[in-house]
Amino acid sequence: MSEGILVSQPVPASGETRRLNPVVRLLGRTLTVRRGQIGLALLALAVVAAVAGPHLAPFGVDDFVGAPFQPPDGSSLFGTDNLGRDVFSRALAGGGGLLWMSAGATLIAMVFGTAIGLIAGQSRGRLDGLLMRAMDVILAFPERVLVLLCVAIAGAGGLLLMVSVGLVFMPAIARASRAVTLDVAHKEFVQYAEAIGMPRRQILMREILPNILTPLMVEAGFRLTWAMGLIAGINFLGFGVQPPTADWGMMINENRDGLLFQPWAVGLPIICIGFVIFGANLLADAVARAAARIEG
Amino acid sequence: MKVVDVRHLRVELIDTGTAIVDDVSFAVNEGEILGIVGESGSGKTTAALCLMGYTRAGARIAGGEILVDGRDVTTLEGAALQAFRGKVVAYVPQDPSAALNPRMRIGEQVAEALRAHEPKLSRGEISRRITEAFADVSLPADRGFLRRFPFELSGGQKQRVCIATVFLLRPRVVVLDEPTTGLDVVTQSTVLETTARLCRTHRVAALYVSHDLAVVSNLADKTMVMKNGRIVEEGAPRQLFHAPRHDYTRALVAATPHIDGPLARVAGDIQANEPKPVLSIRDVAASHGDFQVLHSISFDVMPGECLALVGESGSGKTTLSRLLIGLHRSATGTISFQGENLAFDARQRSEAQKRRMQYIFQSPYGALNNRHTIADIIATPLRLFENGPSAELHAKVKRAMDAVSLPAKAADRYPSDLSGGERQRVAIARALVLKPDMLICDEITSALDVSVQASIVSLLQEVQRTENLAMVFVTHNLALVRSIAHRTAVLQYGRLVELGETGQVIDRPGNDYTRKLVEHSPRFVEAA
Amino acid sequence: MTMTHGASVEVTSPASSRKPALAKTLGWIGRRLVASVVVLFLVSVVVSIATQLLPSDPARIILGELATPQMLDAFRSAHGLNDPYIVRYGRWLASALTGDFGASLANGNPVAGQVFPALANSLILTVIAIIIAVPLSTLIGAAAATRARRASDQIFDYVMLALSALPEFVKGTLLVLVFATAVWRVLPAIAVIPPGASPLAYPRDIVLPIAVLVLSAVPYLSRLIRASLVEVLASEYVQMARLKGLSPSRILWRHALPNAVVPAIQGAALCMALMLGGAVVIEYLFRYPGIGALLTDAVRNRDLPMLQALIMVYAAVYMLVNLAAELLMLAVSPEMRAAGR
Repeated sequence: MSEGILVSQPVPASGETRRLNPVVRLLGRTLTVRRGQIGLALLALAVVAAVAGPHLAPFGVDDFVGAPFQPPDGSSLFGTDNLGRDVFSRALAGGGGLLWMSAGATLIAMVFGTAIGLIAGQSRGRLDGLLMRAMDVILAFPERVLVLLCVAIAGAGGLLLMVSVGLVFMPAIARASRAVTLDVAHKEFVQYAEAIGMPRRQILMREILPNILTPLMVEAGFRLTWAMGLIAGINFLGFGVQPPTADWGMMINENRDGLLFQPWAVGLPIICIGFVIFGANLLADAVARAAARIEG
Repeated sequence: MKVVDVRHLRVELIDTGTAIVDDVSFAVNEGEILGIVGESGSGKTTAALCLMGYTRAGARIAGGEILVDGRDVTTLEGAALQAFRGKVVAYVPQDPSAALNPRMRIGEQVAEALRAHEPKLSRGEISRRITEAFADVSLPADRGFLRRFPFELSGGQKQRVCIATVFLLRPRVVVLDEPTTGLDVVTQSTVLETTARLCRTHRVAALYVSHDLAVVSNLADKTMVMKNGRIVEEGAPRQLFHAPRHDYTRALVAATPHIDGPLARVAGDIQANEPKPVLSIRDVAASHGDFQVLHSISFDVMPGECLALVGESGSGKTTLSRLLIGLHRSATGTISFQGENLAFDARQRSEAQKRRMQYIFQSPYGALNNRHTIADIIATPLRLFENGPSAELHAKVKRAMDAVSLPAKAADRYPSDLSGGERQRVAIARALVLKPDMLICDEITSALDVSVQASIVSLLQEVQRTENLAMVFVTHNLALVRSIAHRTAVLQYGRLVELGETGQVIDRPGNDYTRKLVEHSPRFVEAA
Repeated sequence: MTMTHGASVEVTSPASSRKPALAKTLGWIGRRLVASVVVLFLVSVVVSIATQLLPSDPARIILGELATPQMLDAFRSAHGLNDPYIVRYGRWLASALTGDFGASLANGNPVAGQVFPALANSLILTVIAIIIAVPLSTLIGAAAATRARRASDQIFDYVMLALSALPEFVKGTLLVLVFATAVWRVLPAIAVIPPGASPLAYPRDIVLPIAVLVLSAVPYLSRLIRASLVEVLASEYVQMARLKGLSPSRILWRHALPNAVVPAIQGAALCMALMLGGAVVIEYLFRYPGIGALLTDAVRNRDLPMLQALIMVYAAVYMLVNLAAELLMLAVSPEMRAAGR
């Protein structure tokens, strides 16, 4: 009878890739998706610009190179800003902060959110209820409003903004990871582990965690995109990084008055923000698609 | 008169050009039922759905002729195809729960088919036709019933709604795609009777697609057996089941458990050196929340004995098996295992108890963690209980894999690389690696094809004999019981209604419920 | 599953299960309301503790830099600022429950008198935006889903990903660039709405803010509807509808969409919530007199009573929106429709 479908059949290549850590495997798969390649390329470009930008820039970010709101000419590629600084040089320097702050915020949210979700999902019972009610309180506001509250309490600043965005995103991650944990905890292989008396910690780390990493990576991808939008918005309002630091969001706000005569002072940071966040969004979407393929 | 005439049908995957149905030809006359039998992946459903000019996404009809009522289906498109589907060839789905729109009332779903094909009908006419069609399948057609949503109907009622919708339009041909899969045996037999009667009285040609040889043998006028997209054998059911010519058909017939089949084992087989039971259950009751699932269950299992627990869905059989392994905690009564009391909660059981009793799950897909290799999975209980040197561990894993006929190279593979039967072998190996005294098997073959089911059952018989294992084998399939169990217990609504030697329970049932189960179980058609 | 003796004896008893279903739902709504009130209470505690941490001294803000320590002390004891925290919280809660949130530190006017008109203004923006966005997203999502995997669907996907990637202030600034300054000057760049006037009386001024909100909601909602519709179109009941010979338009509008928009209800609620958050930036950008603008000012001025009131209002509105969405989902579920019959 035809039972042995596989064992006689060679399993192509997958035998190798499967041995990889699920996270590495997911990222590998992501890069086979076209939009994943485009997204990563855009983000990589932004990182290169952030690192090498200051060395390439024709002027320093704080150098006054001409009259305010000068249109583009021979010396200033994209003209000058509201204080007469070089728009191009400031745009080159204005993305680094956004990148690391969003990455940091996402990391904070993922680490704490996942831990809380796993613990809540596995313990069920009273601890679960307590943790989730605490998350509910955080989830009771729009994210941006909560970040503004944090800013009002602790003052404006880049590092603080990163931490508060991380904390504000944490409950959603905790909920998501609790949901997938519960989902996996009902699977029969976990019940088997419970039936033979495997210790809870081992069940959590060995049986459950590897199975929830893929959905969590998908969540992380989208959180990174949202963190960028949120942080850029707070910087735009003036509650994030402070002048005279160059930052795209802040540049847009500073130069709005000159829209009529020097649209480039606003246009260039808009283009930069647009492409970077679009890149992150493409990458996140590619991770989701790759995950859907892996999970089948 | 020939209504369906299919010649050299070929269906292939668009991406790769691989044939999933190849060179299939058949014909069906008015009022005749053709049975198409095959295991999963045989292409039986794909071939049948071609009659409606339908292929699943990613596949296409690549060659051959499909003549229905003299028209070539492959040339139909757009509005012509719409008018053809439902009106000339109609379809009864495998799973009525998924095939009825959950947000639409029953009456609306039935009436819309009629309105689509006969737009000139008046309201009164429509309701008269529906009443007629519902009467044919013994459903009420009052306003209250027609305004129900699918979730308010039982599985059997939903399937009868689908059948009524089909015959309402008086089609020339009906395609039935395993229409009784999710139903219990008694409902199954009513649905089958209804279908056969309607086909004959309305002179409709029917294609009955199924994996169940016994069902087809009773229903069909002629039968074809498919494997890997091709027809391997065709003929009258009698000839096919009693004198199969092709090896595959022969193996399939042999693998199909049936209620009149030979008795595999009798209680006398057990070499009982010690007459003391391994497992002894007294007065056990269990509940899910407020709902009591099990009432006062008592029985014993002897060393080396296989006891079958039979029941339909909702009988409490799965709760009972989960309770035995310590996964269902809200229960009362006593269980003793090897003379010692066994706690209801797995965490309160002694290490020895957890080692000596092992469990195999229903679905081989959920039971194995996809992130671990096969060797890792089988080694899990060893690592937990023995923690010996790794060479010894490897040797034990290797031996367990040998015992269930898994090739050594499977050790580094992951569950998703394996077929369902192979996964179930891994689960058995994991259960056996600790050399337990008792095995609980919960519906372990219900997700498998019959041929795979047969090999798993014979594997279990063998290990049970060589290891002198006691076993509780939970199943809904009464026919399967004959080939594995010494004794059989029948559960109904959480009560044990009958317990005795397997032969006796099936051949001379002492209880009305058991008798009804036996009567309605599909059996092979008598030899001529 | 019930056991049957013949074809007609199978019994399901929806008639008797209908009343309990309704009672169960009412009980569920009650429990949800109680839970919401509890969370709101917790929010108020957390917020008031948090505002205690504010490094601002109301006495100094109001009396100014020149106030002597004696003046400050007198002010504090007159306003109960020296009382223990729990007493001050109790006092705040008691008056908040009567709708009195104290006076703004920035301008001395009652907070409630500023917050509620501003809330009404913000709701006008978001409600109009959601009324435009939901049907628009449904049409776009349905158009994309029925062309799934074709080139036009791909283009749709990239455009929506790009649109959803742009933060609101970027979209807003772009619109201002195009419609109010550099390219055409057909619409005002900022909303000039006098205090007390209804924004509806100034339709030209609210076009751009609403457009930004719609542009933020549509990418999210239409992708949601597309995804859920693609799934529904692959379901067995849609396959069954095709095999019954129904027309493609009936399959789409009667079978697929009613099932596909259900997840979109929750999506629309989330959108509404996102809009409330997004409105903070948009109102600042267009100087629109809503609660978002009040919030930015309150944060800038560290206006404690104003902040406390705004946060409570945000939390309450947010909760009501979510609750409304859940009720709506319940109302269209077949279980409830059967019970309401």
